Amino acid sequence: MAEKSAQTIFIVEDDQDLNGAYHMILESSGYDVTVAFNGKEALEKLSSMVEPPRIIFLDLRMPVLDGIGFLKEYNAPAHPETTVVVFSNYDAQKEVDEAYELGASRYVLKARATPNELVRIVRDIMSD
Amino acid sequence: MMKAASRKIRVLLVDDDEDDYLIIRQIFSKIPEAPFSLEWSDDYDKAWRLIGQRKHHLYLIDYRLGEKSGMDLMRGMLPQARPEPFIILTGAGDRDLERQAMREGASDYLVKGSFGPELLSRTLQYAIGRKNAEQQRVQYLIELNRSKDEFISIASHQLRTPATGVKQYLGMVLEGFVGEVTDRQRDIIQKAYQSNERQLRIVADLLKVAQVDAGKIRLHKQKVSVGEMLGDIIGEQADTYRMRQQSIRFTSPSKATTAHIDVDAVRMVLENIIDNASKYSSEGTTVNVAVKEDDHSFEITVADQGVGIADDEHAKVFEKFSRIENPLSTKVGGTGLGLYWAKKIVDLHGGSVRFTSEPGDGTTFYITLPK
Repeated sequence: MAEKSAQTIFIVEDDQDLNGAYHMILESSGYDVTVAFNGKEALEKLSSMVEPPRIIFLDLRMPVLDGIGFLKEYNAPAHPETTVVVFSNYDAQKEVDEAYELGASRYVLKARATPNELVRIVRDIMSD
Repeated sequence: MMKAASRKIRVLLVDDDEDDYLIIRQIFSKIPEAPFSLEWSDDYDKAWRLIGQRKHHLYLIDYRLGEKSGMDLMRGMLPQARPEPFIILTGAGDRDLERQAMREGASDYLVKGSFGPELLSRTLQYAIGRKNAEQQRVQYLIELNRSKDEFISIASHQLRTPATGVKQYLGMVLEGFVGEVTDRQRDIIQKAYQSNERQLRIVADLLKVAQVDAGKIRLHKQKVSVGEMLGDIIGEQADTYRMRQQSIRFTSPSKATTAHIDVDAVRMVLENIIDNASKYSSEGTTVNVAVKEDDHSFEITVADQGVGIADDEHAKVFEKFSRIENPLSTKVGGTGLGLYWAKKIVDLHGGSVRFTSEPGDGTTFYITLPK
């Protein structure tokens, strides 16, 4: 079983069911998980966090403030301790490229990642 | 009263006979209010250039232009789907020519020597009016088609979300995140998972096709060894073939064929065709894959010993959403989009894909691509 980790994973995903699923998957694997349902909520929660999260899974298409909007505000390069993973069901290369330019370092197509693969990605990033 | 030249309907007359031009100019001058301005070109090549410049609203073309014919000029221009009408000037008694001209896309014809200013004016105005109406209809259909593609894209993306949710929750059960399940429970949940995976594949196919239809595909070409690529694909399909008690033989080229192609896309094309070859064949059969090349292109053949394709289905093979009957399979088929997309990708490369097939005698696909 996974080791308890003090490092937080932050999931930003607007679909309630998916958000819940990813929350369950990562929490049952032993990680501390925080969630938000859009970019604005994510920024608010981040500003009140004591410790920055180790990983942010960022959905691109969300209401209120979308993934790209969030990245522009968040300024990822100013947070080198946090890895931003773009997490999308939209295969839009332009958006992904833009996210990378704004500091995201990985891309996951949600429709293709299984629960185990998600955990693998987290372990992979955390062992860097 | 001088009208600004730009408000006139600009007509280009293409006729190598100056007398014809003078007579026609005379007729034009008698049209009340002079709505037309007339320019004359007496030669095929000059006319071609002028038409290319798109300065005119209508072309009046003599059916005979020295060695070439006015019809050749029109035929040459028609594939460009010009919004300007072509009117052919024929000689008296050229009934067949008139019919042919109309069939080939002329908006109308005029018989030299038998029209005056009124008929000339009316013919030209009607031709322009009809062309405008036609253009509007075409634009409407283009818009309709685009909005249909957009709808498919939006709907597919939205369908992905709940299907992804199902994948995660069922995946959690199957991958042991929520404790033990009995074999029977696992079996049922597995089937639900697979059904859902199929749904996700259908959505992915729809999105691929929507992308290619919207012209949004940009090929990323790179140099690749064709033999290696095929070897990889066949290696990956080996298990599937083995499970179906089929064998797949690859005749690799004697010398290494390299090509500049979009590897990801072409791989998907070949995977699709090689998978089809297996699906439409029974146990114990063999699929043969071979490569040949010449200076400028290479051809991959995928030959199966399967059920073949009925004659009346040949035309549908590359059509969107068409699924060819598979007597060997009781399973629900795919989306019918694979070969449609495959052909588009091959066409985008400047290549071609075709097949030969006889019912009961197997099918061979030929994929030709430029190097």
